[in-house]
Amino acid sequence: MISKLKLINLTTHVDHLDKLLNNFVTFSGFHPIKPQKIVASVHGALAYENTNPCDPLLKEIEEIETITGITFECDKVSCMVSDIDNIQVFIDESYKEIKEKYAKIKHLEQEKHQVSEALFQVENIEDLGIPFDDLFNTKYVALRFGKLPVDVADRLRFYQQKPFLFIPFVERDGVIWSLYITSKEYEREVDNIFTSMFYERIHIPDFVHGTPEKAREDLKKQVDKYDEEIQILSDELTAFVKKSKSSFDEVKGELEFLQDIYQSRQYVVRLGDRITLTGFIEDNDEKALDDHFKDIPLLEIQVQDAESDKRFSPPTKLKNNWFTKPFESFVKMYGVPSYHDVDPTTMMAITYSLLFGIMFGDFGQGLVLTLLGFIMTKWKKNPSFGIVTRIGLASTFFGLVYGETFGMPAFLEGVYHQVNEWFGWHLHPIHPMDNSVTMNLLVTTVGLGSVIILSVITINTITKLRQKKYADGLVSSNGLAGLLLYGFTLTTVLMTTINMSSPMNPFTTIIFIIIPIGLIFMKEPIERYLHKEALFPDGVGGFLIEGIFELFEVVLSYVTNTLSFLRVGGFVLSHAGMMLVVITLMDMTTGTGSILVAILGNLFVMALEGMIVGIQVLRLQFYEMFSRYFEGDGVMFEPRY
Amino acid sequence: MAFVDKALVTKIKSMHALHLDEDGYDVLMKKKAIKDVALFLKDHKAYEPVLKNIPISALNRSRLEGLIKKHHFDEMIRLIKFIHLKDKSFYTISIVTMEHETLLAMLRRFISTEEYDVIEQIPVYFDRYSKMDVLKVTQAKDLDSLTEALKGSRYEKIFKPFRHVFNEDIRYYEFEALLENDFYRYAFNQINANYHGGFKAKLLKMYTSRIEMENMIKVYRLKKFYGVENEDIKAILIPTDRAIEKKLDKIIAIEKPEDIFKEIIKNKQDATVTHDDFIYLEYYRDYLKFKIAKEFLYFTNETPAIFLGYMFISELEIANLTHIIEGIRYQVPENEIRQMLVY
Repeated sequence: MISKLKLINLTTHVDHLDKLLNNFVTFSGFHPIKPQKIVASVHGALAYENTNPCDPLLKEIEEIETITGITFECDKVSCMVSDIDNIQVFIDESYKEIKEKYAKIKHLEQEKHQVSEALFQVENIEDLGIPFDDLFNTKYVALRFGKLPVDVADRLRFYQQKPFLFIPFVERDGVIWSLYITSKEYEREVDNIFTSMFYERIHIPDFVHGTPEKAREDLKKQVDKYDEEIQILSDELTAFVKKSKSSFDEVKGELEFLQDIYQSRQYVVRLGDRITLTGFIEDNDEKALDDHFKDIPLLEIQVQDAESDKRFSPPTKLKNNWFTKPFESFVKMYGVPSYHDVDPTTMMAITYSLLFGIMFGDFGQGLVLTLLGFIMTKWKKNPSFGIVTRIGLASTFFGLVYGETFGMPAFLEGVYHQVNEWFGWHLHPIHPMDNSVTMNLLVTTVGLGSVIILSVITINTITKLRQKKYADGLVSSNGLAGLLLYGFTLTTVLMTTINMSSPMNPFTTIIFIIIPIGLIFMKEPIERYLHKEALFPDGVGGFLIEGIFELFEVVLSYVTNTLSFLRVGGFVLSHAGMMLVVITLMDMTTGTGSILVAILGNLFVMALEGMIVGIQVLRLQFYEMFSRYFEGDGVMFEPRY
Repeated sequence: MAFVDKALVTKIKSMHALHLDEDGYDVLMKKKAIKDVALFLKDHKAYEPVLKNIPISALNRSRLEGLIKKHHFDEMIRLIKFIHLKDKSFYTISIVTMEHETLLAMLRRFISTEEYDVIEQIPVYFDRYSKMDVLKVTQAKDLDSLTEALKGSRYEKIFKPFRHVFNEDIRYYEFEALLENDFYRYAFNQINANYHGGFKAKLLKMYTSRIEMENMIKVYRLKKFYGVENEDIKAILIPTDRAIEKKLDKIIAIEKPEDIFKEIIKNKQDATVTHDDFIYLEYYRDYLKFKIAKEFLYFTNETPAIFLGYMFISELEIANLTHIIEGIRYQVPENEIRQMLVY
């Protein structure tokens, strides 16, 4: 169902803008309208600029949270304690101090990083046992420590004739820790080569002297010193923020609230010294709205029918019961019904569950699906999993009809026997694989499909007539003309099949076939006539050619859409066939193996076929049904808060 | 379509799905620094593997461009390695392009009066897939040693007549034309050897119209920037069929280069574009290439065509990213960068 809505105009003096918006952001269930259409049609009306001074301040707060790792917890407040200028001063001062300390920490971390890299490099050359002073004070040889990206290392082969020696140590994180040696004479050229290969040099600090062992000790000491200094600064920083945490919590809460207020300005229209906020609410929220906004001085609340102002298309709020509600997600996947449209959720919930149950009928597997759907809905808090519960129930029911539990008929045979004994009935399960059943099953599913198509054409006819779209309701292939044509053809086929006299005679042929086909063919000119437009804007010839092809397509679509439901029967057989395979495999094994095959086989069938059947039914819904009665061009009712 | 073809097409399409889309380009064009482009690409699914281990601070313009090219080359190689079809040699056409790029880089090195590192300009990572000895080629000092390095490869025949030409006498555009001819000869030979019927005709037509466009661009550039005589222009055009040559004669006869630009766009009979839509004729060529690529990728069933479509789209993505990076580097306004891109 689609909820009835009301169009609301809240008008007051411009001085009460903040108060109005304050109440607006705390009222849930108000779908605001952006003012562009009003501004365009009302002379002198103005919209507010979409600037928000809170954004940069909130960004600074976020950055402080990132720097310190402290999250400021706040509830959005509903009133302001301090104004935005005071907040700005507070944040600017705190932010400056935090930034300064943070910059110092970063600088120390960078220096520590360089020393750590040098330490790692020293560890790599430890085995050389040569004092560093000797290594770096060579007269004829130049040494460079550093990292070469792995992705360019391949290029080294191409420089093999150049006068340098490349010594790789270790490969880590996409770089090769290495050393290259060249003579002072070629130093520049070789440096250029390595620079072109993005060689990142690592400088061994000047304080490093002596053997690599000694150098390592010196570097380690330096790293520890940096760690100490960083720790002291971090502690100071955390202490500073912690001291002011309650102020930050408060400020963040106020800013978030203020941000909402500023963002809401985009919905306000100003005309002279009056401001108006326009939007939609559910009609039963009218009283709550009155109560919520009553403290605003000079407020006028104008309540109108949702469709009273042609400038705005009312949004759609779907209202469904516990059984059908989960199927809303499937409907929204196709499109949102418009405010005047019919909500297809109920029809979909019934037909989807029915068709899935028929195609995937198994008492045991159905119960598992039901349980799974129930657990997932509770666990993931996602109502869409409710669909699994519902189709599981349908599958359970049809499992009873087919007499199958996890593919095995034995369990329910006993149940049938007992029930027949108690009540004196003669019930028997319908086994789809029985020769006598198979053909009837296929015909029945096509029959079911025909009934569903007839139902959706009827729904479309009623909806279009209600919407005063007479051409669509009366002379389209999905209107009365289509209903008569398709209904009569089906009746004729049915009566002929069951050996009754065919209702087809010259009179019925004219009434139920020729006239509907003629009307469907002439639908567009009729529609143009009703709208007082030229009947054949592209010429009669063009219309005839196009019309004949379209008519051919329409007639063909009745046949293909009907036959499409054959897949329902097909999947009943496929399910039975797959379970037969599982049972055969079970018979081939014994003991635990047999149980294992039963469990794995059932899980496999449930996962694979369950998904395929689910998709196939969705396909039937979208292609065979929705295309006939549902347009899905509406806008969802989305309250801003 | 054979099973192996279907698998290849699936692989191509899934790789194509990772390419940059319209939204991605929109975001990239708004970036103010090359570092920001690198950051964006680092988070992008396609480029993440090649960029993940490289710190942003180490990603300068040329390295980023090089890595983008390498990424696309690796992708092509992933596809080529996947192929075990009798027409595999057709798929290695991108390696031929790399070989030509290397040879032309060497020629530029010979001509240059300054000493510079040619290895830096060459996509050396392709050498293991090439039949040419890339290492030996890069060590050549002149045409004589280059011809020696090319011994045994199909390029030996092309360079042999020039082996005694001194570096200062090398006419670069002459070799450019020779290698272009070689490229198309390779493509046509592969198509003739591996395909037949309507599909063969379709591929041949695509390459013929590509030659036509390249020739037109050459005429335009030679006239506009070098003032070359009509007869000399004719001599270095890639040979095609009579009909195209007639069309080219007409273009060559046009005096003002701007009129050539207009004439070329008019001749293509594409009502959706005008002369004002393109700053350079090369961008119009890219636009046509994009149209062909889309057609091949989305509206054909033949695997080689889908592969070519993917290859063209990859080349265009490299060109687009290069335009963005260069545009940011030289602070070109966003709308001008946008005009250079094709996507």
